[in-house]
Amino acid sequence: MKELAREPLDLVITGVGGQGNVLASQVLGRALLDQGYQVTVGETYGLSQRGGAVMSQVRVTRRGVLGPLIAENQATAIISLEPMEALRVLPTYGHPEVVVLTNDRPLQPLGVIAGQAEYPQPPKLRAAIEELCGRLYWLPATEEAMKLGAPILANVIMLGALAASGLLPIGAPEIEAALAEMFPDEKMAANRQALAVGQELVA
Amino acid sequence: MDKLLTTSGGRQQLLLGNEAIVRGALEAGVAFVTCYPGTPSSEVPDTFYRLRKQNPGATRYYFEYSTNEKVALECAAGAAVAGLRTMCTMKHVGVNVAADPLMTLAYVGVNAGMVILTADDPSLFSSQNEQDNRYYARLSGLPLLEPVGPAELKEVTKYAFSLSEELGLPVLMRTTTRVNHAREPVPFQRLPKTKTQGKFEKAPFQYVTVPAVSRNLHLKLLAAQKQALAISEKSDLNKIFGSGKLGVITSGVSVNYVLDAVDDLGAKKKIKVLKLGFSWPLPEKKIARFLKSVDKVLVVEEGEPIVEEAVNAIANRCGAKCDIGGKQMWKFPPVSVDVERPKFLSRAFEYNPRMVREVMAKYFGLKQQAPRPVSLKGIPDLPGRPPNLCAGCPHRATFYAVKEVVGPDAIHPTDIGCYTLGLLPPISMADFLICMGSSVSSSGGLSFATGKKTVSFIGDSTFFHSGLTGLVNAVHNNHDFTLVILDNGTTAMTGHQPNPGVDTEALGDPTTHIDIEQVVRGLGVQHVTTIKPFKVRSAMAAIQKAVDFKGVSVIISQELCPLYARRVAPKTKRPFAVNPNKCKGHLDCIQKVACPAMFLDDQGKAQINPLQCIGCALCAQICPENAILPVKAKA
Repeated sequence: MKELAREPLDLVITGVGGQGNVLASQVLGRALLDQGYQVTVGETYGLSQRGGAVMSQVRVTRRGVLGPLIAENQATAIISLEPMEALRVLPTYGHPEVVVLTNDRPLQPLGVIAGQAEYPQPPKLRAAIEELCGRLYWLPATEEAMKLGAPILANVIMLGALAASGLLPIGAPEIEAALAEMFPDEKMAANRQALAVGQELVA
Repeated sequence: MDKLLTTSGGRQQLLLGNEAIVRGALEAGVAFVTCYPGTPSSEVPDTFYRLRKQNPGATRYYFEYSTNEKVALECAAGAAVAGLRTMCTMKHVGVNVAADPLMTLAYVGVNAGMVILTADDPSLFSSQNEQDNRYYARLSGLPLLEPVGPAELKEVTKYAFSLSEELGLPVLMRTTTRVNHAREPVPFQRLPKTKTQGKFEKAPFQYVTVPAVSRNLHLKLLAAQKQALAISEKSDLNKIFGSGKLGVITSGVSVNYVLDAVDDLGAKKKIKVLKLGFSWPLPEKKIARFLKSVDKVLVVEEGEPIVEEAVNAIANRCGAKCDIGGKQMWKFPPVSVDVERPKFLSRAFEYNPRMVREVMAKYFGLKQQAPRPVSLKGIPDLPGRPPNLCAGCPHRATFYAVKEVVGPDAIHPTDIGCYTLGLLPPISMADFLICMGSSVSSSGGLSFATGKKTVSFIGDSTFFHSGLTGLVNAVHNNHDFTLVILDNGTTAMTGHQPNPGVDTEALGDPTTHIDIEQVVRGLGVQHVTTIKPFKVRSAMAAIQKAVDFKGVSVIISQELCPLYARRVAPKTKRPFAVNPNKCKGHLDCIQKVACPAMFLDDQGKAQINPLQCIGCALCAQICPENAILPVKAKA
């Protein structure tokens, strides 16, 4: 078992209901558990299947059992499947050194669709996130997922990127093994491709 | 074979808290499971249902989605009195519905282990209130267990069955959202053989609660409580961690935050923690000894100051001199529509690790490493992301048609389900809601008091849950309103569980389908129409007739939930697109229905996201220019 980049390693995974971030946190949790780490995953959803914000928290340690919530301003990294959601959780969980990996594809909330609120301009959004974190990976995960034929693969692409970022004590092969435990064989080719694409985005 | 059905013990599995409850019940040989689904409890019954369905040969328990919590508990009570190990699960407000049988089942008791799960929802992630169901243990006299995480959930669930048998009482197990929805490695033990054949020995003077019987049963319950107190005093679930002259008494999910904080503060030799896992009856002697061994004690519990007040009383009785800290009774967090994180030990909302650590550091005068917050300067205002009806949701079409007919002045009592989201603009068609079933019954009061047109909404599952008696009342007492039953063929909000109105053939379930229209007619409603909401014009005509009818009229709006349809009856319709040459920018499509598949482009014109559009054709029917057409099939 490798040392952790931080003890405990606290990851916030956020996005919009339906993007598969709860699944991403499960895959990650399983991969880390398989390698002998103690993992606690906290999931925040409720009505969120209906397009609301969804957050999960993956806490990793080599010591005892941790609670299901990360303390405010203490996340090691924030992984977001939607750029505005990354910015939304930054003030609560971020700190000057936090690492942010975010998908760059905006998903407009209802108020924006109806013309009652404005979605921040992507360059402004990016600049605001960059200003608030230690390191930013701004990744075209949905775009790459669509090239693979399924936008839902953005979550696995983000896991590939996370594996390549050096933040985890495990790599893409361990994540792939966890995916293989959860998905039928016929889905694994696409998952493998998505993991590889994610790694390339960060390399 | 599903990992949850592994018969041998051994390897740890990463389980959701709710899955751990199921495994615990299986390890206890549960034979009979009833429920009404509701967040945060839903994955418990859903897992029982899935396991049973996918592994009929390897599962021996009976499982049902009951019509409501009262029914679920009464059904389970029948099995338990006949000697089967039973489990009955619900969310916190469900216990209100089940409270009537609960109070007297406590008198009668059970002849085999019965565990009742109450899943509370501090911070109201998906509930109408955040009531603290620990009070139900005090009210009913039943023992209460409060596990803190998945691994303990499994152990405690299993233990709860034997505790129930030892006392002859149902056992309440209370969780909160953070416990139900945490994932953690859980070690497995062996699965036993399940006893599924019960036996009922007639004993009417124990089981039929006429006054003469119940007087004795109350005394029996009090004696059982005394026995429960003795067990609680010795229970390992009430455990002390660490050492020192400073103390924390805590229970539920807060145990995690307290232990994390002790670790962060480097205070394992300064602070000792009494964790109350068997939290009713409270182990009074153990608490008294703890109080006498410390100089200061802080009580950390979400919700009401139930333990805190008991601790103060115990300190008084035993003469402990320590300082006792806890909640700020009359100070409240700011009002917010969002999930608010309180900055002190409040009675409202769930706690969080940083707040608990800060409160502990301050109360005990310990130094902590202050977290480095993020500067909020330069952060643009972010639009909120409230949940929304899905693209292609038939509720949106029904709301549209009703509003076109009755206008904005009509009053709309609503109910609990996805359609409660009709609250948000531009639909804005939810005016009053207190609990499941209240749409039907409150309509009579609202229409009488205001004389206004009243059109209320209820979903199919909620209608069977608690709409029926209200509808009978309305017919019997000549109320005047229109009830719209939104029949999307499933219990959509909580994860597509079947209900009595569901076409069970598609699911391959052996349950019976009950026709809503026949039920409504049977209840005596004179004006009943079933509509297809995506046929906008004919739907509106039917709604007009219904609201013109004097008395109780019912519209049944029938269309499958698209998320559910994708699973049981997949068919692909072509998405629609806006023809920019025809669109004159009325924006009815956006302003009246706000489908998440639609957005405004840079020119302020409506566009449709083809990845989200499922081709329901609602917008196409309301566009005054007929500018919205199906995307042509690719050659």
